[in-house]
Amino acid sequence: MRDFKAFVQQHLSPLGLPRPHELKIVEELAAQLEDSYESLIAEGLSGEEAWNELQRQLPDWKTIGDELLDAEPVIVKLANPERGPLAGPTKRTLVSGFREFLSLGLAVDLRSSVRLLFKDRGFTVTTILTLAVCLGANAAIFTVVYSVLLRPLPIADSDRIVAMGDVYPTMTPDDILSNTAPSYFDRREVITTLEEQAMFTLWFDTITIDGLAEEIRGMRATPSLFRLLQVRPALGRTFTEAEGESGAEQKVILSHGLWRRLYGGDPNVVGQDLRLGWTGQRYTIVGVMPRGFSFFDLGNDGHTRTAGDGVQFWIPLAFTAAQRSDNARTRYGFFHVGRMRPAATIEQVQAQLEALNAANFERFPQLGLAELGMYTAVTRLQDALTRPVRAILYLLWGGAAFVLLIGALNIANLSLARSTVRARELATRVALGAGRGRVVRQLIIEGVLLTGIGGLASVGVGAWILRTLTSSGIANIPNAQSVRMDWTVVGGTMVGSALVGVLIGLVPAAALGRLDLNEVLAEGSRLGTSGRATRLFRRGLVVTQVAFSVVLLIGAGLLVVSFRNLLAVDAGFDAERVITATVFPPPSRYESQSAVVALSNRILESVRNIPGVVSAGITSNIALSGRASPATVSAADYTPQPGEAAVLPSVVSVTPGYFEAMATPLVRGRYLAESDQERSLQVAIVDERLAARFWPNADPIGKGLFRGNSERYTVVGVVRDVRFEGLAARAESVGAAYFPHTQAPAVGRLRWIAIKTVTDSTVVIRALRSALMAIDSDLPLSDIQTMSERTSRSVVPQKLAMGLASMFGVVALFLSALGVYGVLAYVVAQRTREIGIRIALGSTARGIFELVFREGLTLVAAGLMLGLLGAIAVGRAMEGQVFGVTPTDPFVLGTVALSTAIIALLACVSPARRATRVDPLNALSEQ
Amino acid sequence: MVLIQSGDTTLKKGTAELLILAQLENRPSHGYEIAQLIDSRSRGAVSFHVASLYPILYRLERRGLIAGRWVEKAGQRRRRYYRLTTAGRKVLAERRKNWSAFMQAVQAAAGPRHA
Repeated sequence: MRDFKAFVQQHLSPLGLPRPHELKIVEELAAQLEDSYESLIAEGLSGEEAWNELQRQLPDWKTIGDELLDAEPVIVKLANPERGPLAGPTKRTLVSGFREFLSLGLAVDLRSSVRLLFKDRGFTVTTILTLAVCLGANAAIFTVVYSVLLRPLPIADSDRIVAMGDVYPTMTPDDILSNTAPSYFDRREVITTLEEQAMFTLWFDTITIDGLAEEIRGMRATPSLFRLLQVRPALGRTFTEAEGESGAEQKVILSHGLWRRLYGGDPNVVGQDLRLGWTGQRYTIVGVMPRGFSFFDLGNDGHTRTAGDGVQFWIPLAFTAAQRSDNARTRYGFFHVGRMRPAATIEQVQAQLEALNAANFERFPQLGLAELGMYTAVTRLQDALTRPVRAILYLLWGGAAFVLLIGALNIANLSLARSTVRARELATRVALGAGRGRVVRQLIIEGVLLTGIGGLASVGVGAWILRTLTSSGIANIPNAQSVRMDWTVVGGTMVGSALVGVLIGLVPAAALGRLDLNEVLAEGSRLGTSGRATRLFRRGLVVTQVAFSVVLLIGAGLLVVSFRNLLAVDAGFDAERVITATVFPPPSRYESQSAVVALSNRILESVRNIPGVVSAGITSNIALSGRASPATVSAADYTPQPGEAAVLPSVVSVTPGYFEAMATPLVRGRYLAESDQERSLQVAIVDERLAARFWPNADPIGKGLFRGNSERYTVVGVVRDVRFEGLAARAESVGAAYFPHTQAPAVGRLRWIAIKTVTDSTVVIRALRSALMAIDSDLPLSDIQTMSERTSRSVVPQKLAMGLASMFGVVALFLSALGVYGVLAYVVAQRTREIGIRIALGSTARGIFELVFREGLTLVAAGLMLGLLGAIAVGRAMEGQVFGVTPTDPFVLGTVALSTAIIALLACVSPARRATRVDPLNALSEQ
Repeated sequence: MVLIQSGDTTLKKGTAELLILAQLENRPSHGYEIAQLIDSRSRGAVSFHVASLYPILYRLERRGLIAGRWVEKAGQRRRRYYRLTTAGRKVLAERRKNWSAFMQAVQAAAGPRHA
């Protein structure tokens, strides 16, 4: 007896089908060959002859195999070891496993989902667009929040790095620049919870590159900083402890970028000398930092960062004997950071600092620090750096979440509407024998497919929003250089959209679970009528939507009004046609006060000769510089109350012509004059706020003023308050005192020049450059901006917040209008029969219109009321972010309510009009 | 005259399925029997070898147009009998209609012209 199975198995090469299928084929084919063989025997052939004949008649085995595979889905053909590209046993198992999964009908479901979504284009497009916008906005804001606030700084164990700063209740509370050199040595002794501490200051210096003096940013840091940051240099070494001693500090470490720029990446740079313009001395290069190393790349004001120029070199911070002495215990101006021991907490550090301060209060009672209420604040470095923007970023994130919520409500509403329409289709499928599980799976596939596309689109939208943000000045917020959309965000967005998809699928699935199939199928005429609960639920969704968008719009409105108020602030100057720039006279060549005065006078003289220049002056602190310059000032006839904090106004040194150039209004007395010389009467000018503090009921002119322990200055003029920190600066500042540059050596080096012109600024800037070149070709001129540019840059965060919030508000309003429209249109479609009867019974078009419109009106009114209540509740969170407007501002509330009402009611018009056009005959005969 | 033979795949694809379905219209048969039926009913004009017929049977079964079942009759080997499913019956009716429409069209176009 011949073994036909073995024969088939021997010739038919494996097809890559699941094992039971292969066995079935072999068995069936063998049986049929055997039939054929037996019939040949029956015709009288011998066994041998019949066998040969059978073989002769056989088509070739490859054709048989191909034809068998032809009956299989494409995927199986690919898996065939000899015929498909995916040869190999492992892949074959994998693919055949996948095929089993597919054979459960997934492919069919997927295909029919695509078909259904395509058929229902209105729903599909609306959902995808809604998701793209809502998820995209969230992805963008989350990217910013994550990059700026949450992602750890690029430092090893960065959450253990803390910043310290002495706080005086009268000063800006989050000033982390306020540390003194003696406190560094005290704290190194006592604060054992910190394993490493370092002090540093930001530092500008000039380097001559290709014959041009360029101002670059650097840092003077104690050698411990690099140990604290746990950073290894790319070349050479970091500073030794000895190089942190006065006299040994002529060493420099370069950033990777500066190394490339100056030396083209020459690896033999270590040991070479670099001349820095400020001190005019040569510094030996000891190392190069690795590429991408960045620490504290903030602007010179400590808060805002000017784009693209981080710290490019480090030199040792070596304290002089004077800086270490007890006389320097109130000489602020250093950043102080520490790395906590692994188990230490901020509270422990704080406690140790408090003990230290208490001891120092007793050791140095003459400083009166305890009376001033001084304390030392410890904050995580990242928190300290991001504090200025944290609240507004979280608020914006909340706004984006609101938009997402409104969008989600819209989608839920749409899919609810769709599910009632589809109830019959689903019921039919269940009746025909499709398992409920299968139907639910189909619905979920549909939902995930839909939101998956929306999610993909939202990544694009998010990237676009992010790019817009980046180009609109987000670089001015801390950590902004690291803002980028990474896979976490993209992944999170995709997972989020998939979850929404499952939810969308489950809504009609849940409806299906409750359906009585017979009822749905039998009541053909009432096809798709939804239950009372569903109807109420959908109306609830719309009301919620309107309410949320009202809250958002009110938030946005408050920010818009704040921004307008901010720009309308009288900052104490007129920005019209004022050019400003920084000029640094390097101490190496302008050592004495008289040398600086002489230089300033020469500069001003030649600048005033430029055609078109009306007036010009130089100052040590310019309006909107971002930073106050506080120092102790007292008045001759003003006795502080016991326990009253020291008066710390901004102390500013100015040349004659400065107030004129800035057009700071003179309230009383006179401006500074050329006649205020070093040896003439010592004079001062105060602003209105300081005048009101010292002499609330008297004429300040002629009164005496002291700067620390200085000699008496006589007040000769009162000017309008000038904002130094920014337009939104807190009102608690105590004002400013101005001293002539000739009489105030220790006030601060002259830095900014302000020039009022009547002509085109570019011409004047060119003339200014050549004037400076003629005076001293090594004098760097940088940071050239008009005063208007300074003004708009100082409000970039507020402008950004306003812009984003407004965008969210508009999107929210649009989505809610869409929601209102959707529900009404659906109501009309559902009540066509009823409306037809009404018309047949003589109802006028106007009556029908009102019937539908009233329904919309109810929804909108309820949403508005809830929204207004919500806005009042949320208002408290907005308090710190608004300027010159209360969170319950009636104008904002009223405008938002009115515009929401108008837009939402406009959305009611079209469905209401459609209702009036219902043809009673059609409506009644409709199945 | 042999019109269709094993290995003539293009024509077979179009007609073989119809032929098989038609053989199963009245009663279930096994593979060899189907081949015999086609051969005898077409008076030898159409002939399949069982080995070529089998992939088509397999395909039809996968698509649910026919259903196979192993049957053991007394004194005989186990054989797989195929019967037409409802879906198969529908497809057969459709194919027949298309086929005869096609034949008529071919005849009308290719036949001798009458004045």
